Amino acid sequence: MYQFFNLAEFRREITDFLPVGICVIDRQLMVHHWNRQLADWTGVSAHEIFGRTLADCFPELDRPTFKSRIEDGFQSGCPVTFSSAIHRFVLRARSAFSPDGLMCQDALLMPLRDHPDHAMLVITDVTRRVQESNALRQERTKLKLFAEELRRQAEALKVAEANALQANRAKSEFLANVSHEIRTPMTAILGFADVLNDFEVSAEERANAIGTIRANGEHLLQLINDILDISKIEAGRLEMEVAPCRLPELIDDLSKLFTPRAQQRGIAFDIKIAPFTPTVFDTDPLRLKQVLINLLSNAMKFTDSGSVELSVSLIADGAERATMQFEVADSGIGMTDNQLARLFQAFVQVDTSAARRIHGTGLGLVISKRICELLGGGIAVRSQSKVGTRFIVSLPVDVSRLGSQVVPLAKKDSAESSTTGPNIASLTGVKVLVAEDGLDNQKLLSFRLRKEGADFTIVGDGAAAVDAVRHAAHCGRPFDVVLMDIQMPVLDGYEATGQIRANGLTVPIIALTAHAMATDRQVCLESGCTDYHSKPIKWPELRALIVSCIKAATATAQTEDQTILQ
Amino acid sequence: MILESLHQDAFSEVINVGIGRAGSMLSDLVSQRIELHVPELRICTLDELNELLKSNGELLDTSIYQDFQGRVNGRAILGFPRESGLKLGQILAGLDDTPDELDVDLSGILVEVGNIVMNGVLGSIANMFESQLSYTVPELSVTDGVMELARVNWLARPDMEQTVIYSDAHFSVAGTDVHGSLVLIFRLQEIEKAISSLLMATA
Repeated sequence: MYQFFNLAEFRREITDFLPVGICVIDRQLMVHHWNRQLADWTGVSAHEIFGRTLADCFPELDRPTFKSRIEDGFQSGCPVTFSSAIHRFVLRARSAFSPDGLMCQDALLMPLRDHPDHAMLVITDVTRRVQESNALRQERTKLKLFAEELRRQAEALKVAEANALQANRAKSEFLANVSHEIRTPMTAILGFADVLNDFEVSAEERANAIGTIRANGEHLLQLINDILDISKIEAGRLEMEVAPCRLPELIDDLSKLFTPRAQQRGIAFDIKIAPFTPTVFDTDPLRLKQVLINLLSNAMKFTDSGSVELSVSLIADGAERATMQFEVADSGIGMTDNQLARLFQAFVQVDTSAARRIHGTGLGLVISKRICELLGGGIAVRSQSKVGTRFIVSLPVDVSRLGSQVVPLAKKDSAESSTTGPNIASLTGVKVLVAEDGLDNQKLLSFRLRKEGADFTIVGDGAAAVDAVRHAAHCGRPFDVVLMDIQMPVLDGYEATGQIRANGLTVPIIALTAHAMATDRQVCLESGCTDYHSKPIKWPELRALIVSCIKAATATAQTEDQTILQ
Repeated sequence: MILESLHQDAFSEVINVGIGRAGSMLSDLVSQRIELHVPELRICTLDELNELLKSNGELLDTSIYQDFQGRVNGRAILGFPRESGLKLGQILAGLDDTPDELDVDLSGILVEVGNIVMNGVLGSIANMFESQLSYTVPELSVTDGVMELARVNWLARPDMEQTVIYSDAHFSVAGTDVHGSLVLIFRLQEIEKAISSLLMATA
């Protein structure tokens, strides 16, 4: 039989030893036992609480939720549990582990079987367990957020993958398109080469075949240039080289290029320059020319009758800013709204049908648009199906840099163009050294120079070129010009040029290279070359370059002679 | 069998009185209205209970159980599917989202809920038999299902069969219905004897 209300000393010691709070109460909540742990936790000693009720010392116990549960326990004899999650605590006590300093408690009221009017109240300190559980819950919440973030990233990755696949499909379509664009002119080139080789042909047929081969070769070259440009655009490496652009020269070049083409197609080609358009302005002249050639080529291609017109004007944007505007208008087939919407998409041809009349890779306009954007401007287009198309290129210019160069152009241009046409002298007797390792190019240059009556020597590497130039100068019969390939065995063109200059020889050296980047020209000039011509060889241009280099060298030599005489 | 033929209704009434008291106590505890409802009692063997639970198709793997001793000996189990247990814990703890796992707080809440429900039911049964019972402390099991807790108990004796009183248990709180099962396991011979004594005394 338990006699807790008359506890023997050893029983008291047992409950004092336990790490839980233990007290014995009766139905009126009068305290009959109070262990040391409870005294420590609550700060209320056994001596103080004996003879008083729990509610006297702990008013919270007067709450109905406690009282009814405790009464129910006494009445039914059933154990009653109190969880810290619902009640927080049963007897207010301090805890160093709780943020608010109050202990979290689980409690159990266990009615005593043989003393139904008494019950044992066991209290457990669960503060640390609750703190750990809360921390765990927070970590779990963080993990859930992290998992959600991972899920979002996986979704984004899926979208990126889909986009990459889409881009890959577009590239595949582009490759198929390019393949077609290469095979078509190649078929013509190889076919006509066979015709020239295999058959007896008349002079007219021969001229036609050669013309076709040349036209298709140029087409292939343009295709390669476009592909290089688009790859640079995609890699973000297309850089503009801003320099003074001379409008008369630009217009003259375009006129010479497109007037014969317009005549062939039986359409008119007009160039109009508005009054007070500057003759010189800052932009990338080569890239601007590329854009205008592209737009004019398209206009010519898509116009069967009527005219193509290029208009140039300066539009003031304020006191300091102005816009150079180049407008290419045609009376061609025009475009529908749907076609206009797809106009500037990479690798997209407006007419994608297999039976389309005009072929192309669809890169020209993408490149042109990007160039204009890199130059700080843009391209606008207006078109009406079966009426015509108008492309407007706008490039901002700095008015302060134009200065007095702003003059009416219209008449000056025509006058200039009539007087500044090429006036190329004969190459007869001109001494030329060709340094070139490629046999086909050796053959081609030999043919051209022989036809011109030039006195030429061919060497196959840079070291031989250096020897030949030294030897000729030593014998008193120096070369008038050197055509120097850059990529050669033994000694490359840069090294060979450097050694020639190091020997104090000033012979004009024209670099010939298949490296077509703008920076390559700079490297050639820095290594000592006089000028630069990019392969494939365009004979009229190279011939003009040879002549101008020889003229310049002769003029320099004459000036030096006069200086010496004075 | 006496239990089946005569007293299913009496048991039902006694258990519903206990359940009603428990509902009222729970409502006071969490300061919101909670309705407890045990729609229909079934009296069966352990094997029949097994078939019944299988046919319900839900695993009752979150259970509070408590043993009792005295004139009748047995075990009371309040079992929930895990999802229902978490939902009930979430509502009573006032959490915004249903948690994924039973932590210390939710476990404590479920034990207290089970304690209140089983005290109500067992207190009513003790009153019916005018008998004093002694009880173990309620425990939470999250590893064994209700059937394991019913089969593996201290009641087994060669001379005694076991019988089961089973009912669905519905908790309606905050507009949500959370369901579980209430299972009471007795020694058949003991409870038949107690009922006979009760009948004789009533007569």
